[in-house]
Amino acid sequence: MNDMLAIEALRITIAGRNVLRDVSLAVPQGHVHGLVGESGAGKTMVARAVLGILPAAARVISGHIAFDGAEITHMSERERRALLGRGIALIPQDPMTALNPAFRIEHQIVDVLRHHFGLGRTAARAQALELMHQVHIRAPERVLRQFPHELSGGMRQRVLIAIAFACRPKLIIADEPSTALDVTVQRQVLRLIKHLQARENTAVLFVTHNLGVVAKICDTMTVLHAGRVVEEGSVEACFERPAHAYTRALMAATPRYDQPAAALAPVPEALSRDLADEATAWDARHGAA
Amino acid sequence: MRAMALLEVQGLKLALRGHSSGLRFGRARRIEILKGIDFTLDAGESLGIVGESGSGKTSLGRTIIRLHEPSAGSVRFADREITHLNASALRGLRKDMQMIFQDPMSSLNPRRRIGPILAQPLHAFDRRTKAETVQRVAQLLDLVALPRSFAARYPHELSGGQRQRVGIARALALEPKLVIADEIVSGLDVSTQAQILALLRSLKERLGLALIFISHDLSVVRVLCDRVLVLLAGEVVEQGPCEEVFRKPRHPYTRELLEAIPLPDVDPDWLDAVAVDP
Repeated sequence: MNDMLAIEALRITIAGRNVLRDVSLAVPQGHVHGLVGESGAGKTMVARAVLGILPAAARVISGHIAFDGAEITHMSERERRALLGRGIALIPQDPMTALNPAFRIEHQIVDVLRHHFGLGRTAARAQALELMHQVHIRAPERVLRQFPHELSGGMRQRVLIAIAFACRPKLIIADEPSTALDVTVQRQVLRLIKHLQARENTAVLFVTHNLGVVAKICDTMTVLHAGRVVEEGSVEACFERPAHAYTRALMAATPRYDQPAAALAPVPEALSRDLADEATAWDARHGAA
Repeated sequence: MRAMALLEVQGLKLALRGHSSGLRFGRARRIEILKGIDFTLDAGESLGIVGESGSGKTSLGRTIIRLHEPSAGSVRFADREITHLNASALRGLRKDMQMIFQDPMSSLNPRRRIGPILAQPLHAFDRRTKAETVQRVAQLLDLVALPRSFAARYPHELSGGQRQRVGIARALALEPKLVIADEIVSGLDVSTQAQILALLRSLKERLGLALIFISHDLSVVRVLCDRVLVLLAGEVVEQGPCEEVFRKPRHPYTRELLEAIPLPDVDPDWLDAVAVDP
């Protein structure tokens, strides 16, 4: 199968500290791949590396990122701009900061369409309205005239999903797209992403800390800890037969409303120590940058 | 009604002046946030208050502790009517009723060390010698399983979980009978969250604390609470023992909330069960 995204032994440092330690993962066309981990595990760093928006202090020491078979590890600004939107798009976490508060929704969608397709204003407007229908926004004409602050969180996220899918990208990076939403709205937003992804046969790298969300929307997954891949495979395999103790510990530490309190177990300290030791050993083998 | 509940809330209403949209003259619109809430809480019992954004769960916590002035109804605490206590009587009450906030980074003074932060409630309520205060601060750090040396640190030097432990220690400084915790594990990673939940469970048992735990996360409430109260638009739609409510929810809204929670089990039908068109 054709891998839309292939990351191979990616190593990134920030100020001489390793933040990604030989991370490899692949997202085939039409698949949703979950990238899971706790804060500091490096999941956002992977997403930023793919989008070419690493922090200024970050250095790619070794490894490759390929999009649709082409190397994109070290893109120029010009190449990156040509790629983003049409090739790779982002659904960001916080729709309030991703949308410009000073402009109406229509303006922000029309901008994208004109930039990427060179559409005229009228054609872009018609296309924007069509996109609103695609993401099942009721009263689309009204929403287009509104400002971001006038919309609910779920509505704003629908608008961003519309923008992400606007150019029919081959790969979408979804960075915690449902984290800030209420559960009922989260479910609708996940449903919408899955629906559009399946229809367009888009590859999605789904970044989240929420194991439950991964179990529901992803086909395959990678578990990161301290910048290292500790588990990967199909969601069935990872959830039903997790190979790594850390994956099992994360699951045991996740509260569930259908199980009594006694079922919850914090991550054992010995395991945390072992994982920290392994990371230190990795650094010792590979040297600081 | 049970005899001698620690907290009795009856017909509690809260109306706040609404945000005026555009230019309005005359009286500001009043918005009903809480529309008559009834519940009781026994000493040592823990109650989860759950609901989605805008349900009024945070306002309910803040009204009980009188950070908001209720517009109707009554709150009785330890057999005493506290609904309309004046400022000085409230001060005495706050010793017995403490609140822990969601974001410890914004509720801990960044310019003070942990020691003085924990000593502040002690100074406010008790006359103690310096040595006694230092001793109590050390006890409080022990209580929440932080090293005593943390007394000399600043909040920004601590991790999120450690800061939340400081928030808990500060709330416990005056040995309150009731603690109201508002979304205190929401910003934490699951492994840290599990540790804080374990800590709260053991504190509750050891100190015989009554706990009101406000959360949008029903799974977390299941871990920590004896009973749960489900709020929708300022009204209680269902309350009862966690065991019962989570196994057999009676109200359709509770069912909808529970079904919307993505449990960590692979289930391809879960997403398909809702319409794409909301």
